[in-house]
Amino acid sequence: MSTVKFTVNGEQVSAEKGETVMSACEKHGIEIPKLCQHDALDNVMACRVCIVEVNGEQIQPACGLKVEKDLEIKTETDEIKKYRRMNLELIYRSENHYCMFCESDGDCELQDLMWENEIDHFEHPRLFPDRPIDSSHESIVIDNNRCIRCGRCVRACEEVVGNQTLGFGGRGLENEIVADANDPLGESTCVSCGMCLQVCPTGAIFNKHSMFKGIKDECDLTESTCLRCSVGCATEVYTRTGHLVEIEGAGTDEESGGQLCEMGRFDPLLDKSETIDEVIYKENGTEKEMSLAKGLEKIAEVLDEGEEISAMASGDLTNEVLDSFSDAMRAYGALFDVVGAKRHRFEKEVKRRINMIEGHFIDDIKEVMEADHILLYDTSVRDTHPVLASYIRRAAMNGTRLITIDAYEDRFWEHSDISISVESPKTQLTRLVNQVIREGKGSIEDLSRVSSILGGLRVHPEDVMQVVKHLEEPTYDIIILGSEIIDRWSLRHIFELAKLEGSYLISLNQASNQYIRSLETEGVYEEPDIAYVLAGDEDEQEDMKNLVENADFSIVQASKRSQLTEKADLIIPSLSMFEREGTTVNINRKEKEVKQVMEPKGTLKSEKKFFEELVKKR
Amino acid sequence: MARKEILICSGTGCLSAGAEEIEDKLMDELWKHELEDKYPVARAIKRTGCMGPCNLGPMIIIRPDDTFYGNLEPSDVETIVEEHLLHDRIVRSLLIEDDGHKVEEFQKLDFIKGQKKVVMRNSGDIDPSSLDDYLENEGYMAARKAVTLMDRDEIIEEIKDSGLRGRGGAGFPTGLKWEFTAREDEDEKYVVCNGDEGDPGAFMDRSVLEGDPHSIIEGMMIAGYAVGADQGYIYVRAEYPLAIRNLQKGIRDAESEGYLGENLFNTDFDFNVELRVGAGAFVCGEETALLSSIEGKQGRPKYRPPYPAQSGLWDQPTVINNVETFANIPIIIEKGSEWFDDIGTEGSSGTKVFAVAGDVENTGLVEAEMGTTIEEMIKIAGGVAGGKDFKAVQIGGPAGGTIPEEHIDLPIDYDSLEEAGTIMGSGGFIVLDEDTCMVDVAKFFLDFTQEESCGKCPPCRLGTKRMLGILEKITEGEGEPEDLEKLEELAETVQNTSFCGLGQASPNPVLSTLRFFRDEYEAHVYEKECPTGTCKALIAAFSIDESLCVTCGKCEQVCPVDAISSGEESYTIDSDTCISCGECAKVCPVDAISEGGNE
Repeated sequence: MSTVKFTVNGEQVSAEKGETVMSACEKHGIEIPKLCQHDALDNVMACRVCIVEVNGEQIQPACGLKVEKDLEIKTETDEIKKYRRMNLELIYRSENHYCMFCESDGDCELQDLMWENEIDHFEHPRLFPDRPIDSSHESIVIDNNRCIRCGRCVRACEEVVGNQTLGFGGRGLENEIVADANDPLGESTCVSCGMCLQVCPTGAIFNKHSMFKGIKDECDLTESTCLRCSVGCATEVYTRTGHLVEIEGAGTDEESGGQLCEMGRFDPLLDKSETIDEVIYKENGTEKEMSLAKGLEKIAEVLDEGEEISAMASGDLTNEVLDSFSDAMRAYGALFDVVGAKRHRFEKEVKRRINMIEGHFIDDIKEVMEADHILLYDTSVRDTHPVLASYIRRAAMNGTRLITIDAYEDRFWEHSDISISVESPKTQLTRLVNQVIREGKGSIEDLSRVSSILGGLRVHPEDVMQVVKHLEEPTYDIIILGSEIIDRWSLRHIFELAKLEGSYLISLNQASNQYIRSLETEGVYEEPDIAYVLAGDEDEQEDMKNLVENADFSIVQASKRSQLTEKADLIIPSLSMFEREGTTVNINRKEKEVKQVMEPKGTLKSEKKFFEELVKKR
Repeated sequence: MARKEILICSGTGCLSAGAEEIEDKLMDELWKHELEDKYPVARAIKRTGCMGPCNLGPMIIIRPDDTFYGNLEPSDVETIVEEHLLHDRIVRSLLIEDDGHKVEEFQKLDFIKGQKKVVMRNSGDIDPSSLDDYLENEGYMAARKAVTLMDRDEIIEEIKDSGLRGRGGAGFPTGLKWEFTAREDEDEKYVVCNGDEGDPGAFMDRSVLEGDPHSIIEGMMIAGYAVGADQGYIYVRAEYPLAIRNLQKGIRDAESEGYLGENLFNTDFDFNVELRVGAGAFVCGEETALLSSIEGKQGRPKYRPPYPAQSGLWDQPTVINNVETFANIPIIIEKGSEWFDDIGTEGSSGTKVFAVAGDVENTGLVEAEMGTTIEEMIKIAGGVAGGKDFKAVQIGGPAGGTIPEEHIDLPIDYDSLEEAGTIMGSGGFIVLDEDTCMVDVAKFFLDFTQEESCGKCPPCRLGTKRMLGILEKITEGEGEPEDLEKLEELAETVQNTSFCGLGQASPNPVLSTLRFFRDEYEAHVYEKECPTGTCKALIAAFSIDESLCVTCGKCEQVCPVDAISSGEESYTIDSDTCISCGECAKVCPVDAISEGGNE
């Protein structure tokens, strides 16, 4: 990379060729005021606040101007300051920027700039357009009266989330942020990721569940990892006096680029379920509280008596908790499984049988944006792995051909080039695709032949032929396998397809912690004497529920009340995801840190210690 | 008796003036007199594009003598057919008068005499929906010459030598623009015609597109060949239905006759043209916004560089020129750069089409040689209407400025206009007489730009709104001394910090009126007076001098707000209801009514 030397306010600065003046200045500690520029987004040079003087004659926005040799930049001339202040005043006085009545008072980039530029009296009267407020969405409010039209939200929605829900409507003073065709946000194509409110510099888009709970400067900030899916987005969790205020994505995070989804950003704020702080033993239908020590003894006693013991842990726990729980359970002779581990075991088996090498598996989900074709098998990824879904949408927007196969609704219908829906069991379709490729190779032009292979399946032969044709092209193809597929035949067919066509694979899993790949697990007794379930913060999993229902005696360890605890004979408190500290492994097989955000509220303070004690009790 | 041909102007202006009715009547009359053999239906009457003198519509020309009849009523048609067609006698009573004498020939109209038709060479002369007609007038000869006999560099050199500058307003040398795109090493390149004419009152581009669509296609084709592009797009606003229809027909005809498509003129050159219809956002006339709009995105300007010449439509090198620019191309190729360069001035060669409007006798399209003075232009348009004094001319539309009487001898070319604080723009030319309030003029244009701002940047979206607010305050008699200063400060900020040309130019009407007519602003602010009596809020209610009133009641009849009622001795005006329009004073036979007056 070649460097270029130029001067800023008389000082010589060197920068990389192609860099903007703003970025070069920031690296040298020269701050240029800005409103619309955001590192995660394209520069649109809209706000006209970062204007600088160029070579003593021109005025240009620093975020758009590229460095050139011997450029003379001045950031604070009288003229520049005058124009900048005028533009700030125009912005500030044209909408409802009454700071003391705003949710973002104290967290506002416009307010900061007004202070920095000492604009405390005004030339122009306040305009008061009185625009309607859109509060139709469960979590997000859009108030155009506090909007400065910087368009960060519009860009974030398109460029980062690949969703294009937000846009501009109207011209001149009527110009506003609108969802879709001026629909209420709550009824729009919004995926509720909240990226818009994260990038909004003012109080125009804000989080309903966080509003008026405190400004960020007065909160405690913990940087952690979200455990809601295996993408493992880096989070910035704001708390105040031990209470959750807001969760944001960390812009520096490689996997997410600052994104979070509804599960990671809003769900924890919405969760009002009752927490479990004590050990509870159920006797003749009544609940009795018990000390933690007594609880330990009780567990040891029950487990000692059991012949067939099934232990199952959630896939959303940390490595350390999984390890210590597994150790304890094995000490008592239990069979041990983790939600999601079954799929891994199946995959392992299939790989061995068809002799598939690890090279087919991608460990960077962002790679999907480089693919020529994406074959998405099971579109539930939109809900289970929303950040990965954003990359799929972005890929499709940039010309990647997207082929979707689903038994139900195609949740990428707006972006898929070919959408195949199957009503029959999924296995048949994977077999079919394989068969077409094998038997039809060289003669896939022959429609009747394809039709005969398709047999009675209600799938258009043309569609399948298209799929085959696309995959046969010598291109960079990625097959993404949704987490809902857990039958061996499907896995086998898809893996075979990847092998046959030299495609790459991303295999998604229900568990957020991919540490389960290296953890030893096995199928458990389906109707055991004793079931010990260690739940996570996710909604109850079917496997766990069945186990608890079918066991003679069930122990459920959880942080909050749920259907699982309803049915349990013995309830043990566990830590919630914000109380736990440890590590997790994400889909890219990267180890990430999970930080303790809040002090444990219940009697249990460390799960690891608890399980170590349990082993000792044997 | 030579065979006669009837040309009827079917431009949008004449159509709304009733050209179709005249045509129907003509057909009826021809039938009645059993003239259908002499005038076989298909060729009896030729519908042409805009002939130019729009306020004379509906109008016809009868050839071969070029006899011109304007301001026709259906009842006139019978006479014309009987007299002129049957007996070869010119109907003198229907001729147009210039300075008191009847003009027989179209070319001898004062309005036409002073003009130089280059761009409008075919408009008003040929049937724009007929490819044959275009071909008969040397159509596609220039493209054939360019593609078969010239190489790319030669064409670009020819355009450069001609001195042709962009007619969209900024006046960038066209040849240079083409050269930039030609130099780019990309397989996909595009040629785009900017037909998003948006200035209020401007209709030059519309008339060319309506009246001579093939010349645009041909111009684009030559550009495509020169820069290495095989696809062109014409962007027209939906408000131009006739232009769209004629272009659609033109493109289809050219395709089926092999003037568009593959292997044109038996070479390996391919060229296709597609029409894109815009929804009429003013900002889409800005080239980067227009390209976004063609791509199907919102019409918002983008940062330059990179310029479209390097990275335009779908990020490919793109030549984007105005309609009028493309219309000049075939004739330059045909007649050579020297011929073109000889027209006009040294820095501005060729002609410019203006939409002349406002307080002149004859409004319409005037194509004049570059360097024609403002005074000459007004003369072409028959002088200031009603014998009033000339005050100023507003050139360049909402992005332009106002030039006062003392510069009436200013030659109209890119550089002189810029020096005088305005721009060529797309060719708006609004003549203002002594009764025009310059603050009101500035307000009119600003009202337009602030509404048409795309909203992307604060100076344009909000600054223009603020400026308008101040102008409204001033015209309503509430101006404060510091308002003029505020206005200038705002204008400066908007001019210097707006994102695109639209914003940067939007204060021009204010700045130029402030420069030349500051005293008028000051009169509004300090004296609370509108010197021309335009700003109603600044005029006191009218009243009637009882001693003079003859109770004729004329004033009562014309009052639009029923403020006047009859009394025993005299009529009276209710000052609360009166809106000071002054209509009553105009009709009073004894001058008993005056502003303020007898209180």
